[in-house]
Amino acid sequence: MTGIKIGQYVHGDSFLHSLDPRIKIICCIVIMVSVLINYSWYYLLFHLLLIIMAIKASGLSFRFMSGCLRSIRYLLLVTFVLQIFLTPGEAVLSLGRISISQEGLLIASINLLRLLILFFGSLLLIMTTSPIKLSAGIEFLLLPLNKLNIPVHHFTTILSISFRFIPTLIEEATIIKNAQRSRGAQFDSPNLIVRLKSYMAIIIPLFEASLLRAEELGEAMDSRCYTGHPNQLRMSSLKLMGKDLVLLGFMFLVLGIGISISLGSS
Amino acid sequence: MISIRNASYCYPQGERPALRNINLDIRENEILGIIGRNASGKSTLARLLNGVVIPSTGQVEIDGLSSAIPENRGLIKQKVALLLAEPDNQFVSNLVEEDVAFGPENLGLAPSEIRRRVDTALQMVSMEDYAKYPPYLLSGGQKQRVCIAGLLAMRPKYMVLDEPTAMLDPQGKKEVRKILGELKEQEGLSIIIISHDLEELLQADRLVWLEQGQIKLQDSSRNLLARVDVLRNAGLGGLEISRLIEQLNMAGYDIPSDILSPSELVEELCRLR
Ligand SMILES: Nc1ncnc2c1ncn2[C@@H]1O[C@H](COP(=O)(O)OP(=O)(O)OP(=O)(O)O)[C@@H](O)[C@H]1O
Ligand SMILES: [Mg+2]
Repeated sequence: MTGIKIGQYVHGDSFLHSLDPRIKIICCIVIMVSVLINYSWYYLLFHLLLIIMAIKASGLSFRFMSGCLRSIRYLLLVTFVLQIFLTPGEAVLSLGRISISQEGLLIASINLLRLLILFFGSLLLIMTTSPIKLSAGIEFLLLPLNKLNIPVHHFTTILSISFRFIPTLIEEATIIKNAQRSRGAQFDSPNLIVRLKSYMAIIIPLFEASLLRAEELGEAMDSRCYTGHPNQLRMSSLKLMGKDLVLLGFMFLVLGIGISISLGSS
Repeated sequence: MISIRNASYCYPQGERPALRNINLDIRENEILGIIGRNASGKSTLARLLNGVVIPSTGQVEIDGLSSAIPENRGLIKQKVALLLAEPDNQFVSNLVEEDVAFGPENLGLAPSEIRRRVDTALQMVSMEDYAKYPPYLLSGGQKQRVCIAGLLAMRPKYMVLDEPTAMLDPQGKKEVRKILGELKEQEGLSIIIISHDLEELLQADRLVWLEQGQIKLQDSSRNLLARVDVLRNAGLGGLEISRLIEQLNMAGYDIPSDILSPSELVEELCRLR
């Protein structure tokens, strides 16, 4: 298959694909937590190693995954640069009034590493879990909220349909952008105001089109007997297997070690 | 059988009624074509058939089930499937087979039965090789075929198609047309098709012409498609072959105007010599 888009489910039969979605979601959250509470270099590098192993076990190519970094390159750059300059400490390099501190360099690198781990972790989750399975997993984990009269099923349906519409909307935005460009919109004008105005000319028609789509989708779902009641019977029901439990145990062990390290160091 | 008796409908915000005093029977295993200009009420009629729109006055009965009774609507929607023009607005999942499973899942079937239905439905539209594809990698015709599979998986008796090929290229139109014929012949479905495409309407057994929310004419498609005047009034161009016959007759020949296929015309022309 060519033309795979970032963040879209890619079908496969790898180890990662075969895991239970609930376990994958929990592991993803565990990784986030343990990465966020910990400053230790070893610990973070260990997680990076885990991520690299997970990519290996997902069947997705490293080239594709590193290509995905392009989409968050500005975020990475801005956080890195800001932290280098804004963290007070012993200066390694001074440029007039601003200086780069040793602490800044360290913190910026740690945070860069954290962002990378978070990004790839969640990317792997959504690219190896089919949307319906993902929402079934989220639905299961949020089940306790049902007791509080929060309509979990509606929430997960909205979530999975939003995922489903991302590629459609991207395509539509490209079409509108080209149409507006041929009418003289300047998307690369040096003037910021002109550029903003040009982008407004995409957003408004896109919004309008999305509302129309939503209306038709509602009708189509209604015609296919969707009632809004959660149906526990799906084509592929969720089933926990040995490897799921082993992985879960391992991740909690890692989390436990992480917590004790951060408690010990503070 | 679907029977519509004296049905009228006005949209809540509408000024004029969208449908007025419709009387129509749809038999088992027939293809019924609906033609008419824009805003003549074709889509409203389609939604009347599957219980999305309930007539303000009059009755719609699907196999004896009245759509006015709320308890019937679930069953009616399962019996009468509705396909819209834009395939992209009908997908709920980013995976072909999960999308096809959506209808059967809503019917509360057992997982093994859902699986079986998804596989057979995809085979019926020759899309079984794409079960694990995301829809956005498919062509327009393939997408619409997957949408048809999604409806077939609910095992409907009637299939209502609202301009199913309007968004497709010639190749896609051809793919969908081929499937419609097969569904009637092999699966015994009744098909109600709204279309501006004469090639598609040629497959129909019967045609209904809607004008300003009323049925202006209904007849066998053979009779109606040969009438260039009717087709023009319904906003359709007329078949190439009918236009040819019209011109020949203007030039002084006398060729019956109800000829629809090239082979019949050739026969007729040979007889003239
Ligand atoms: N949601 C709505 N609310 C109010 N009026 C509507 C609505 N949908 C359709 N109408 C009106 O009802 C009439 C019939 O519309 P309908 O969509 O059934 O026509 P159509 O024959 O399908 O047209 P087209 O060929 O453009 O699809 C039109 O006058 C239209 O303006
Ligand atoms: Mg219409």
